[in-house]
Amino acid sequence: MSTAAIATQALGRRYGRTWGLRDCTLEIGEGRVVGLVGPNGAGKSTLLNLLAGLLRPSAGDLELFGRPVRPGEPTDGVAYLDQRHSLYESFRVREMLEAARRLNRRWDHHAALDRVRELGIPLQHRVGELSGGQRAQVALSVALARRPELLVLDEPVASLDPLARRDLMGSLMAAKADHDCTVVLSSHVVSELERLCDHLVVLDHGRVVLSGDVDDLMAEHVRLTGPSSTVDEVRGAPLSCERRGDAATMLIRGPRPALPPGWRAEPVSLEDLVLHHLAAGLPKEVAA
Amino acid sequence: MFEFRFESGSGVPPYLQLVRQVEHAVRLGELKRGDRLPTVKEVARQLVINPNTVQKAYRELDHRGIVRGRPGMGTFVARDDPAGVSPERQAQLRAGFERWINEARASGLTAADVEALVSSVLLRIGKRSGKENE
Amino acid sequence: MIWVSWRQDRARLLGLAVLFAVLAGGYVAMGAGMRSSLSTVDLPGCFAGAPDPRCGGWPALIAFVHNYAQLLLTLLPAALGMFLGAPVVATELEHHTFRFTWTQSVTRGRWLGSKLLLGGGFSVVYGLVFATAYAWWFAPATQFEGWFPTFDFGLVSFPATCLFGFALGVAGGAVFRRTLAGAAVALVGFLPVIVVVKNLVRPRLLSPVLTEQIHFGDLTVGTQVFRDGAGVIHGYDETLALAGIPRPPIPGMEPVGRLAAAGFTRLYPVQPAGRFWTLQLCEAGLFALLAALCVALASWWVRRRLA
Repeated sequence: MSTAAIATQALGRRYGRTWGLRDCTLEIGEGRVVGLVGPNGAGKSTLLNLLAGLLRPSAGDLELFGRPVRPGEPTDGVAYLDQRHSLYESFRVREMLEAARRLNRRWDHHAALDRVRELGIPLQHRVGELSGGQRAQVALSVALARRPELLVLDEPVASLDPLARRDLMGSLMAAKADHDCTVVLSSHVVSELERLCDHLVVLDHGRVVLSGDVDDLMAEHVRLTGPSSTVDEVRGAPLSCERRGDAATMLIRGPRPALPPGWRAEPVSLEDLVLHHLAAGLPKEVAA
Repeated sequence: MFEFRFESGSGVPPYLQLVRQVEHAVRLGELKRGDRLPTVKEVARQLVINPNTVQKAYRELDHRGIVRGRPGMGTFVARDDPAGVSPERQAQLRAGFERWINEARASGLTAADVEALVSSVLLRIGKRSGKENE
Repeated sequence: MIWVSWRQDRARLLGLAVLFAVLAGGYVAMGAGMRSSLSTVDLPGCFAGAPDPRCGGWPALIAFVHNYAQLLLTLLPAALGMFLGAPVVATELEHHTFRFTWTQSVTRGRWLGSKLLLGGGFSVVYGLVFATAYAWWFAPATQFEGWFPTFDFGLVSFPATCLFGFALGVAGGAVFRRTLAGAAVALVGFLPVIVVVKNLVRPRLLSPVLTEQIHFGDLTVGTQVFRDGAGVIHGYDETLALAGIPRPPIPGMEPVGRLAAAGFTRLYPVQPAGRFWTLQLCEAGLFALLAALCVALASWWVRRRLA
């Protein structure tokens, strides 16, 4: 049995009087690709910053691979990539790699150089002169050369054009296939996450509203459509119920109930599922 | 080399999409016994998809006896199409079906309507042939 | 690690090196010019800036430099804080590169330590270079004036003052998270400190010695006092009253003879020439302590407040 890559217990972070993240309890297995979604200000970046050791928790515990994280004490096995792919702009690409080599105990310089060369990024160019996509690739190369056990990416493609997006995520997925690390990435584009993630965490207002294996979540949820007149005959607690004229649509989580005549069950896309949970807000017992 | 496709928002779990594509390709004779499937990394990069999903699909296909993974060599198709229909006959049937679909479209049926129609016909024919067999 | 700091800060380090080199070079050029154009007999008397035909044009130049540049030169340590210290933490925050820097293997403490070692080290060297040039320029005058006129730019205290200026900029940049704000702190914070140290702290670093005779190189601090026969010290006005002598109408025309006859000996409070280096060390220690406080604040801020 593998230990959890990420285990949080009532993890929270407060900024002054407001909580950026609260009561976050998660357990995520090794090797997963975790998608973190939620509206702006939901606490995605806060959680990622806590994982990367950039922020210290105000409450609760955080363990990575069974080891408690002490903020300020960097974890060799954790690599982090922020939305701006922040690197030293005045450095040449070669110097940037050299800097990362000197800032890290664990570092595969050949892998970093080879990767950047393969991508056709000139080593003598300054980081500030690179295109957004190239810069993101250099930042990813730096992160990967650290041979991370956990790769944390905060909105990695938000600033990129569609082509560069595809390139970067393709690279990331290929790298994940090569070295079996755990990946956590946040996005506010839910439709992307279906293909990228196998575990989904939905945050809203600093709380976890949904967390689970993507396939399980998709199998558990079902959309029921049928005549409005027989809505009450459908057993089970719907997450949402919409009536439009004679037709009604329900989203159900859990075992599929026996359906009255005229009702039909359809699979639900991950995006719809997330939107329903965000619209429904917090589970009642947490919200109270 | 076999090329996977991916459709997000369909409601079909991603790994199952890949499993079905291989199953269909084998059924249609596009994949034959001994054909090598792309590596997990190749699929992950090309399709920009989680390698865990590809791996899960390959495991499922292995479990269903459709492919066999050979360590260090790759994943190979382990079964021929069960129907054993010749490629020429396949092409004929396909062309006929395409004509029918176009006709249905022209009459104003949507893809979902066609799907519903096909599955209901399949269901009825299946019941009838079941009775005949009794 | 130190390579990374060097690569990041080298442009600023070189810019300040040029500034200090130009200023030091100015004093070296002035010193060389005076040595070559004036006779060894006249040379020592020509540093006070008082016009004298034997000194040629030099006193005018010296007076000009000291009237107009002295204040700016006193602010050199603040320039280190503004241009070298303030950006240390603040640029990382402004350019968001802290998200890279602080997520690598190196701890924030070690990262800051290496930045401080580099910037602080260079600040001390720059201070030393300037102080050396200043001391070399002034050296011929010391046989008349001693070293005290060079105290502001002393070989020991000035490098320490530069270190403090740098550290103040680092702390300002860290706390206010902007290079510009950090630079403002370095300038606005340095001014009162240097004024207070120069006028209030420096005279009290060691209590002055009372002497009847001021020697070459002694620094007079405060005004003359008088000792009565019992060895008790009195101020001038008090002494006049005690001796029953009316206050002379013209200032500076102290009736010293009559006071002496009445048993009062005139004494001057001085820092003797021999104490110059001790006092330099004391002041250097004070600035080093202030620098250490700034570093402690910056370090705490980076590790606790920015996490």
